[in-house]
Amino acid sequence: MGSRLRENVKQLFECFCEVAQPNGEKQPWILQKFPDTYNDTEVLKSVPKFAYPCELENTTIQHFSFVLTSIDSKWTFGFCRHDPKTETALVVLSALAWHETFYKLLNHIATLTASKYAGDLWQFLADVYEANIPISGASIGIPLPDGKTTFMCQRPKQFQLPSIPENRNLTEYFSAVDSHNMMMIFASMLYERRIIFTSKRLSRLSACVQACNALIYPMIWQHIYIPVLPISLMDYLLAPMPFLIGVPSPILERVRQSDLGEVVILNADDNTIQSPFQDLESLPQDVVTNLRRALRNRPALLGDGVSRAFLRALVQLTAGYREALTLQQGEAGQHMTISFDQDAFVESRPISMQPFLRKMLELQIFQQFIEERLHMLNSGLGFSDEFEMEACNYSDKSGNKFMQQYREWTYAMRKEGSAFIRSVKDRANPAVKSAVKSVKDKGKDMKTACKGLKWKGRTSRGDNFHHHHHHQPRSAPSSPTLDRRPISSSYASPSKSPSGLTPTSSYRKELRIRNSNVETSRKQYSPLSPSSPEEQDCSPPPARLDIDLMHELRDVIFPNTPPVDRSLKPVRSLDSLRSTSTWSGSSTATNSSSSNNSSTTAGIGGGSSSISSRHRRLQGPPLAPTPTSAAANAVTTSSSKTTTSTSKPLADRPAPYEYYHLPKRQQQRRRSITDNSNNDLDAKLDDANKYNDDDDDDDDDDDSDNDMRTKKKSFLSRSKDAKTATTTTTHEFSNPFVAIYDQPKALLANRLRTDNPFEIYGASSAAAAASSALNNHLNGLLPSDAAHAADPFDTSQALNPFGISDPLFRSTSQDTTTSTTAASSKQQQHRQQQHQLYGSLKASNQASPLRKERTSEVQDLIRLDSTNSSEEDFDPLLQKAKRSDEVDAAGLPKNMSQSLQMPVIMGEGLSNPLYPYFEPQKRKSDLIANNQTRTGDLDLLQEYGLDFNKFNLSNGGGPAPTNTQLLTAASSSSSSSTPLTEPTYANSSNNNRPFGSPFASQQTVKSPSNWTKFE
Amino acid sequence: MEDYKFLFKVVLVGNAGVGKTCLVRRFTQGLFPPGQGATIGVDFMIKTVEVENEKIKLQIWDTAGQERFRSITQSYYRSAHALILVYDISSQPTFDCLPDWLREIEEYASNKVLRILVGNKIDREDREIPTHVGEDFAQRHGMYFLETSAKEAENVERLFMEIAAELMEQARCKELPRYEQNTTSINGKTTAIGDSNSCGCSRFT
Repeated sequence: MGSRLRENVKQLFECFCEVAQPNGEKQPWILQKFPDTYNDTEVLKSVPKFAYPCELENTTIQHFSFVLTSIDSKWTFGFCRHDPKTETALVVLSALAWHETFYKLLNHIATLTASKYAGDLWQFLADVYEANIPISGASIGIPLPDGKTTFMCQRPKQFQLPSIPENRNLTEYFSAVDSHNMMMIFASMLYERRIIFTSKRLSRLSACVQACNALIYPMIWQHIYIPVLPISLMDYLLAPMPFLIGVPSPILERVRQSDLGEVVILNADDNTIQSPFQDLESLPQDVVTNLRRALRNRPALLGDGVSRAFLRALVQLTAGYREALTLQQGEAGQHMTISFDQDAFVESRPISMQPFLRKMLELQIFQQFIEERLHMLNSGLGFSDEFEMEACNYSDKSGNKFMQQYREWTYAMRKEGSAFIRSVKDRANPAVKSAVKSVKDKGKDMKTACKGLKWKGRTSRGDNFHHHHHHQPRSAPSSPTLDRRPISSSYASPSKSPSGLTPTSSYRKELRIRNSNVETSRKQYSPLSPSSPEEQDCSPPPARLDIDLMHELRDVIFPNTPPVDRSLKPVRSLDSLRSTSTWSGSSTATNSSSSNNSSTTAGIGGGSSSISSRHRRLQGPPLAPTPTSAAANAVTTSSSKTTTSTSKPLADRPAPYEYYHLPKRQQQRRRSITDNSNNDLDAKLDDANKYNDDDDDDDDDDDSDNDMRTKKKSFLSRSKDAKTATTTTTHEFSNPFVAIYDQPKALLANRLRTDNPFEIYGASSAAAAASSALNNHLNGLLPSDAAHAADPFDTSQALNPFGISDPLFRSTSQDTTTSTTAASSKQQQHRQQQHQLYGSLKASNQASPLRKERTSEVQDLIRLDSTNSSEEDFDPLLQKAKRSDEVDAAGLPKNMSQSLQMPVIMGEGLSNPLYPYFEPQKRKSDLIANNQTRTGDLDLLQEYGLDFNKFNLSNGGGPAPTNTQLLTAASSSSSSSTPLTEPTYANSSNNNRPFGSPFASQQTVKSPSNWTKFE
Repeated sequence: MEDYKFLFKVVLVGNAGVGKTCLVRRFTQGLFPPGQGATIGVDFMIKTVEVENEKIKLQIWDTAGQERFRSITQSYYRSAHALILVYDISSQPTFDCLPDWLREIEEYASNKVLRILVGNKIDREDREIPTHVGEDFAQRHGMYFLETSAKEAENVERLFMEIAAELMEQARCKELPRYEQNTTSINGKTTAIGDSNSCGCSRFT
């Protein structure tokens, strides 16, 4: 395998060393180490050299990491802490690349050493050493000897893309190196060049090297990799093979340039690059163009925006690899395997790309990639990581083809299923078994579902489109940002707006969202030209087929589940997708219908708000007849989902992303509480009233919705006989939607909406009100929602961004129009609130001058100038964030503060929406604990400008008291249904762990498979 | 690192088991750096030799252990000054693979690269490739040719010294404008090459 991270890591760290600094002629040496039994002499010999790679003036506390590569090419990370006040360096060796965690550990150790508890250091280290490594996404706490502090160790989520600013390395890289140079490095890495990074600061050096390596995910650098090069290994700079080496400036100065040969040199201190190659120019230019465009949209680069931009570039280059996959019949007695046909791969791609792709096939980095993908596929892991999700988004024309292919495989595997199962059973991968089984079982359902969908699509499309057009211009006030937005709102924002915040009826929304998936993926590649040839080209929307594989896996997780009558217990198809989103870590910001927020906060969110909708769903009578059969029900959910998700992949996908962004909204709402928002409130009230006029439209939509449901149900019963080509279905469904979005007007309108996420929540009041509103919503709306949930095809609720984020919106609108809410029936209530929200949205849109100003400020804030921080290692981003806090407190532009608050609320909540739900109690204690760790992290803060305490707050504990309160309320309100929820979570986690403790369930969610690569 | 006149990179390629690593180890005798492979993942050797009173640093890269990289070798070739293609005189398959290796070299290496064919393990009794077959092959492909025994240290020193001398010669030719005073030594170098031919390292171009 190409991964260079070790598997089956047993200990959090392998060794702790204290290294004495070089003294005159004396080389650095190890003063003490833990455990004493560690005796890898090669490593121990190297550690001092790496800890003090060269003579460097050091005036601040610095953290950096080095990497030791064993002969089997696996990496061991050395995390190092230099303190100018001491004469030693602290080093922790680990196979885990968890930089933030180990830097924190080093700080604890340093604090401990300096305190009166120094004698207990060994005991603390022993505790950490013996601690079990938490499961992906979970965390453990190890108390320090002082009894007050706890070392929190959180395992990064599987498949999570590194994001700014939680990921120190990427943040540092992003602030030191501009996007053009990042792209240059990216291209040179794809070409496997000899690449040198240089800096005066070890922390920046190692961070940049580590970060740029992460940006080629899912590729993995296969060659020499030395984030910090000790002077004794200087000769490695002369290596003839590709390398990626971080060279401290003093060392590089001693190397003869002529000896280096053809090498790319990036100076991270002054953001300059020298390269003898034309790598960036030789990449397919549309890929470069899209990447450049994505990176230009700086507000969207917070969170995992940067990672995702690069990931998408790779998707664009390599996504077609799936079309070149072939299922091969092995020789007699052998099993079939899926293999990769290079020629088919190249030929399936646009001609302009083919020369590059042919070359790329020869690169080690790509061969490793294909190898790994094949391994995933052949071992049943399927397509489950971020790359595949993006690939699904992207695979425009391939949708049909892949569907076809998949069906063939389904058939083949059904025929040969037993052999396949046998071959994989030994690997003890439940996913495989389930995949095969579910493929066998579900093939029929899939087809019928497709047909039903097709019908549905035909029947009710026309009217809604009409409405749609009608609405868009109205909701798009001319705004100063108008001309700017389309440019800057790259992948993150434009797509979401259409699906996210339009006040149209539920069915229309459903369509939109489905479309937005397509649109999203398209848009991010050419946001400027909605109707450009490229766009047209790709208008057949991608079928999100990866869903099938994963869902079907889930289906079989509970093998003893009694058969389910789907016609009687239809389930919203979205549920499984939600669960997908939970373990897939940071989801596609692009798809998120709520991502208008995420234009500045892309990829940040997670959290608590998902509780409500889950809760709601779970309490639905059809879903949960009895607690005991909850597990069965959960399975039912996912299995019937399988039927729908296959045919409606587009529709299904967006929802999970909304969860992802919801906490953001909460945050924003919370922020706005402190704001003086009376004006906003009034405006919203007005607008809400205005929008009640639009009820007619919505009624129409509801009608059509109902019609749809009826038809679908009838269809379901008949559909056993129906065998319709899935491909056509997808096609028919998607084309019209794309057409809609090709309308520039609509597009603009949507974009406009995305502009101003913040005012939406401006009217909300106290947190208590919010939480009570949440409760109200949970309790009150359940029946109607449950009714909706009963229809597997009615994704309107599930997909409806309002439906999903109801709790939030509700609380907002309750504050503004309580009387209306109280009087109306639940269903009406729901809709009206949508309107109100929309009204407020509109109101906010009209506040354009202010908004523009804010937006530009946001941009400024995100512009990270590396030169500023060349001497002092602080992060301008966060520095400014702090400043903006003050601004916010003064009642000045809250937009800015909201976007900048992101660091505070990210962390655990960021990508683990389940977390608050499952660990309400723990959350509180964590909060306390984390408050206590504050002191220990102070030097980190000084050094880097990153406030780890802030992160901790959100990581381990509640993002903030307000939020916590809200969450606690939510969880307590849902406590009655806990028995129901747990199975569902386990189910969604694609892992058949016992549903014992909530905590266990939560962990399960995070480990859908043991394929971890991106930690 | 600074104390040398020339630095040359020499890459060894050839089938697994032909004795590439042994050749390198025999020549460098583990002088530098001892076993960094354990911490960098790639091992390599450096030895400074003296040719005509000039210090020449030979950096010798051994592809052993890199077999997992199916295409790694191509990147090795890029900046190599000399390529040593090794086969085992007691193993016909290793000889039969030479055309494949050459194809890779043709494709990826600079066309100026110095290419040397080495038949290793001449200490073995069970020779399968007669010397003249190797010579013919080298002649056809414009390579130097030498037979060695890493085990007996036969011709190993000479192999690398010849390479160093030849590369220095090339480098001096290139840098002629800067080293006008060295014209005589270039002539001297030429004779040295003649000498080397007489000692059995023959060049066919």
